This record gives sequence, C-alpha cells and structure tokens, in this order.
Amino acid sequence: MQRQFNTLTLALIPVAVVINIVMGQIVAVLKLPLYLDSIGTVLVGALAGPLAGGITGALANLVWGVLTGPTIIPFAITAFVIGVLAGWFARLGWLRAGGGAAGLVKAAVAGLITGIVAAIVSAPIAAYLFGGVTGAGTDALVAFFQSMGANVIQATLGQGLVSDPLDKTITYIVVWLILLALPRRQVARFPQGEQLVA
Amino acid sequence: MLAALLLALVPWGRDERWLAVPPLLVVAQGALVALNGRAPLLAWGRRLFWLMAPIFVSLALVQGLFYPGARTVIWQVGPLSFKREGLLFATLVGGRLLLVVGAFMVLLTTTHPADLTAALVQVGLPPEGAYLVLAAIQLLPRMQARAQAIMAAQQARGLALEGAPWQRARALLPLVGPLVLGALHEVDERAMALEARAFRAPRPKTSLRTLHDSPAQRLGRWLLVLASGIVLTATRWPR
Repeated sequence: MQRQFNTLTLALIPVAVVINIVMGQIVAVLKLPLYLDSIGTVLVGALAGPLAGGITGALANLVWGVLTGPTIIPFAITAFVIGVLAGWFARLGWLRAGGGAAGLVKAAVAGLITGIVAAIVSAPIAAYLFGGVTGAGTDALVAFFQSMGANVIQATLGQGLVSDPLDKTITYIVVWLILLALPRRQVARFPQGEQLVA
Repeated sequence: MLAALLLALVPWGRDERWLAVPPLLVVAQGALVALNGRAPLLAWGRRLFWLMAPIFVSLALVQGLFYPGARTVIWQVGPLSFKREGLLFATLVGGRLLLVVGAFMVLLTTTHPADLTAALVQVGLPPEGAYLVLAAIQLLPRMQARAQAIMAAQQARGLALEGAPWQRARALLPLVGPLVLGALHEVDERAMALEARAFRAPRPKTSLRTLHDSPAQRLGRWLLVLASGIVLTATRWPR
C-alpha cells in the first residue's frame, strides 16, 4: 500500500486524471463513437498498482463532475473498478510492453474483459439512478433493447455490452503502445514498473 | 463559509403523490443560492438547465415510448405513442435526478474547490488527497491548451480531423501520443517539486485557508441529516 503511493505515483495521478478528461474531450471533437476517457486510469493501474489505478478513476469522475456537472459522479464506482482491474492485469504481466503481436493481443484481451466487467458494473447505476439514459447518443441503443422486450436494467446492460468492451479494448491497446513508447528507464521507476518492461 | 452545505432531502417515494415534491425543493435550492450573494442564481440555473435538458428529453423519449409493459396510451403522434406508465417512470427518475444534481450544484456554485478540500482535510482527509484533487483542477486548463496546440500542429502537418469514421479514428494516435508522452514527462518534475517541499514528511501541515465553522452551521447540518432520515422513513413506511 505504501509502496503503491510513493511520491512519483502521487505526482502521476493528477496528470492521469487530466489525461482522462482531455482525451474524453478530444474523442468528442473527433466525433468517434467511443469514450476513451480511462486511458489515464489504466495507465496508473499498470504503472503504480490496483489501488492507485482505482483512486485515479474515481478521482477523475469526481473532478470532472465538479467542473462540468455531477451526473457522472456515480460512475466513479465503474472507474474505480476499471483502475483496479488494470492494476491486476499488469501484475499478471498482461500489459508487458513488448512481445510483438502476442503482447498486443494479450493487452487487447485484458481490455475486452475490463469492458465486460465495466458494463456489468455500470448497468445498475444507469438503470436505477438515470432510468437508463445519459442524454448521449447511446440512449438510442437502450430504446432499441427496450423495444425488443428487455426491461430497463437488461436494456442498459445490453447498451453497455455493445459500447464498453470495444472502448476498453482500444483503451488498453493505446496504453500498451504508450508503455512501449516510454523510455524503459522511466517505466521501471514506478512501483509496478518491473512487471511492465520486457 | 458554506463549506459543508448539502441538501439531502430526497423524496424516494414511488407514489404519484410525491411527483410534485422535487420541483418545489429545487425552487427552495434556488432560493438558497440567491441568498448566497457570491454565487449568482443565474449561473446555477443555467448550468443545471444545460446539464439536465438532454437527459430529460432522452428520458421522455426512451421511457415514454419504450417503457416495458406500458399499455395506457395518452398521446399518439403518427406511429409513436407515448404511454402513461413510461412517462410516470420518466418523471419520477427525472425529478429525483434534478433534486440530487441541484443540491450538488448548490454546493459547487457556492464553494471554491480549495475551501472544500481544506474543510475535508480539517475533518481528517489526508493532505495527499487534497493535493490530488487541487492539482488535477489546476492542471486541466493547461493540458486543454496543450491539446489544442497539438491538434493545431498536427493539422498544420496535414492531419485530417474530419471525414469518414475510419479517417477520424486514424487521427487519434498522432494526438494521443504527444499529449500523453509530454504529460508523463512532466511527472518527474512534479514529483521532485513535491519532495523538495517535504510534502511526504509525516508532520502536520499548515494551511493558508482557515475555515470558520459556527455552532449554528454544525446544528444545521445535523438537522438536515435528521430531516432526511424522517423523510426516508416516512416515504418508505408501509402504509
């Protein structure tokens, strides 16, 4: 616990929080059907450990909520889980930078699993707090699933399972590429860096 | 200073009789904001409106049209039929949301983040936590400016930010790379700056801000908690 939170991690977390938010905005500018707002979270989870990753995720939603509007604060729970999972996958060595195509596939699979878990965690929040909608384009998917006969929670889960796994897979691939591009010396200095350099 | 002001009165009643309560309470929140001279009522109202409007429209459309098991049609527009049960559900969720979000907005428009974190540190949040929140808030505008600069620079090199989805997706990597790598480069310096100021020293830290928490405020908070408890039991009690 203490090892996860050395000064380097402490300096990294706010930077990662801001990366999350700014990336979310860039994706909105590019009008891509993705979120990519957890790149920083996954990065901290990988570099520093599960708890640090989870805190980064939760904090990002909290700060974003303070700055724009509190509707995304409840999803801090999802963001926390994403960070913790990223930390565990890194511990297992699934995010090791290198290994060519095999390394890429491993990172992608880790992202896919994270996406499925994220959808399962988000669904009850979206269903009970927001009645299934978020005011974004993905609401059309919820309407579609409900018209097929699903109830509110099944419909939000369906919506999440369509958008989250793809989003998190791409997020993990991006993080893997970043880890590959960073100097190995810099990566290795983070608490969990040893598990990331090939 | 209204450091810990948060209206917690949320009617969770599922009954139709309670539908009128959230709008009334939101009006009360507005009055509260107006009382606090520093935070103009207009800003609160505008932010609340722009935040909630898309959610309300979406709620009315998705649940009004497609709520599972709804039968009573009350409004037919061409092939679309709005149903009573769905709209009731939408109103219930919408009112609840409006209230919670409104309360948060009261807190956010009346309290500076630095005051909020200072108050949290006073009641036991580790100073590291306060640092994380405030550093992120301060860093954001700088990073947004940098993202803008990177986008402009890459466009000047011929990067297309518009066009087919595949083309826009390809624009992602040339933007992510410089942004994230540049930001991570800064982490080292930030860590050294923290160490140089002995931030991790296990000693009590002094704060530039001191907060005045009057007994009346403390009493008010406890009364709010009590009132929430009463509302909760009153609405949930089996009649």
